[in-house]
Amino acid sequence: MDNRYKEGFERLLADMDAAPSWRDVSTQRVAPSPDDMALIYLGPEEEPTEIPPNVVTTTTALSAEDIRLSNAASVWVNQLGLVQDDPEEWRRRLEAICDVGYGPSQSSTPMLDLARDFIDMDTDLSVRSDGSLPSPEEAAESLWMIVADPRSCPERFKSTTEGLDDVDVAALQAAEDALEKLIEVRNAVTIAADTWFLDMVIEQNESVLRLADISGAEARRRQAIIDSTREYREAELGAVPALQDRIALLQVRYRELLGETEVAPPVITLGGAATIYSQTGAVSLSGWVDQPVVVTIHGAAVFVYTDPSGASGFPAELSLDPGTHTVTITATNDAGKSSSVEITVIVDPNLDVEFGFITEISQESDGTWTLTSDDAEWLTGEEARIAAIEDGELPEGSELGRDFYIRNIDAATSQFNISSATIITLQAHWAGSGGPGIIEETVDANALAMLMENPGSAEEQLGWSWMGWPPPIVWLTLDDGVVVQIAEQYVP
Amino acid sequence: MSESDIYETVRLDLMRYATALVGRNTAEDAVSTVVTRVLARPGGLGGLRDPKQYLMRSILNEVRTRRRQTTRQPVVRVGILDGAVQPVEDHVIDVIERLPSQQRAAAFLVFYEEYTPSEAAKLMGCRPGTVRRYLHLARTKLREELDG
Repeated sequence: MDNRYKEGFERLLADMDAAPSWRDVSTQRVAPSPDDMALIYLGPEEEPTEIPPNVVTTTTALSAEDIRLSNAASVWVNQLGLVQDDPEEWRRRLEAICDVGYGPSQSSTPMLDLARDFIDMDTDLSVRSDGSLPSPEEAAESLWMIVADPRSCPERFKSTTEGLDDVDVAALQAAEDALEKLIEVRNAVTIAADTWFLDMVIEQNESVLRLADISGAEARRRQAIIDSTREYREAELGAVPALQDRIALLQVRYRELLGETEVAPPVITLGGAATIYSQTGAVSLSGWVDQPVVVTIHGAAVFVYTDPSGASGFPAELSLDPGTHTVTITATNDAGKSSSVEITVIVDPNLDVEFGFITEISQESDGTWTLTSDDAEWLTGEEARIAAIEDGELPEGSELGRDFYIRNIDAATSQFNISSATIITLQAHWAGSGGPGIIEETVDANALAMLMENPGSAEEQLGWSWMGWPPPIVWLTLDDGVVVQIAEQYVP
Repeated sequence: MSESDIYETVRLDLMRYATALVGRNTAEDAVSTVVTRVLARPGGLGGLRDPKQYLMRSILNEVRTRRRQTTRQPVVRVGILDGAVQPVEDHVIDVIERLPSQQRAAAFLVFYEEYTPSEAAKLMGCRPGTVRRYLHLARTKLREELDG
């Protein structure tokens, strides 16, 4: 069966034109065909034969501008772990970012300066497990990513043709006009379908979508019918505003057509282990839900951000008294369906916490496990900078590139026994579409030993990609000298 | 290595990949759009740790984002509508053209370029299990189309 595909691709590539020369590529810049850019998808002409009965009729109005601002905020959360969700702040930031991104200078310095300013403003908004902040270089990278999205700077994306002698200026401008209109329609589609990721709806749910034909100066009014495995929704768009009215409200009237289609309950994926030990009672929780939801912890709503894929992330901080607590996290979707998970948090001031590199982990003949830790210190902020200078790792008067420093100035090691119930969490790359980028995966001692011996085996053996590398940098939580929790430190 | 040299090293791979995803008529456009976007940024191609991997991921994202006409338009050949017998190869190409871009990328990289699922996952920016799922879906589609 697989060979059939091979034959198919061979035929498909058989008459592939020669690849473009370097000169061709370097001078083409953006030259997509206007036809390509203007078309989203024109489905079959027939009306669907069966549409479930109407259940709910709602009229709503959403701003295309909201999409622009939320898009930037999502990148900021997903790439850097900073929850800056103030629309006014993003409006201001986008203005500055777009000035730099589309300005005459292609130097990276102004963007780096902006990144520093924004990190300073968002100092208290980190949702990283250790509360750290990203480096300016990382943040600048995310700002460039925001700029690269045509929706971020809709007034600015048109390229200057100055100095581009070999470019067909008329074709370029026609393509950009088409792109501009495409942005309008993409926004309209996003709103009508109430989804951030139209591609996913089409590809994974085999949706039927018929939408605006924008060949004319004024977008025509059409119906959008989305037929997915999860829900039916019919949306009726008002006229798409003219270009100068880009930020005007788009009127979208849609009806929920829930009918015979079953709405799946939310699926919650915890960002860490289901049992957490804490010496101080300060606990960071995080998780991921596969659809838009409201999340409550012990009945109180917590902040939820929405990914471009439509999934929801919930970072939360708890402060608990000593004792054993059962924390219930509940996610409820628009259809009223909910799911819950429980986390056990053991708060004990008598627990010890050590930091270091696990250099060895081995199983004794009686089946118990022991580990060897190369003791170290995790330092942040000014303390980190001073320590790095003291250790000769950083020249006097210099700044650290990242806001942390691991001091490991001697070869002192410690040996610990591991409890049979020891919880080990490692940093892993998130594999789904969209999502938080990095999550925590729970493993047992045997799996950790395997990873230390062959770190590349994680994908094959465990089904996920380990972010770390031996020796893992960890926080060890000890109860009466025995390791009960191993948490890998996130290192950007 | 200059940016021009880097591009020369990877361009045929990129063109083949893009052609498999969107067809030869728009492959060049997809490649040039992605490459010029990288060139416009500080560091350009020379600033990438693994230019081939980065550019292949970018091409897949570009294809998915722009929803090329060649992948979005219903591909219906007259011969099939008429119930006429088609050469097998044409059926296979029909199936390929109807695959969603991620399934198409996975099928191309594993079945044609003979990467392992793990290697394909790195190029596509997802995990091997996801690649296997795409391959399963692609196989199912082919089976349905050819045997069903």
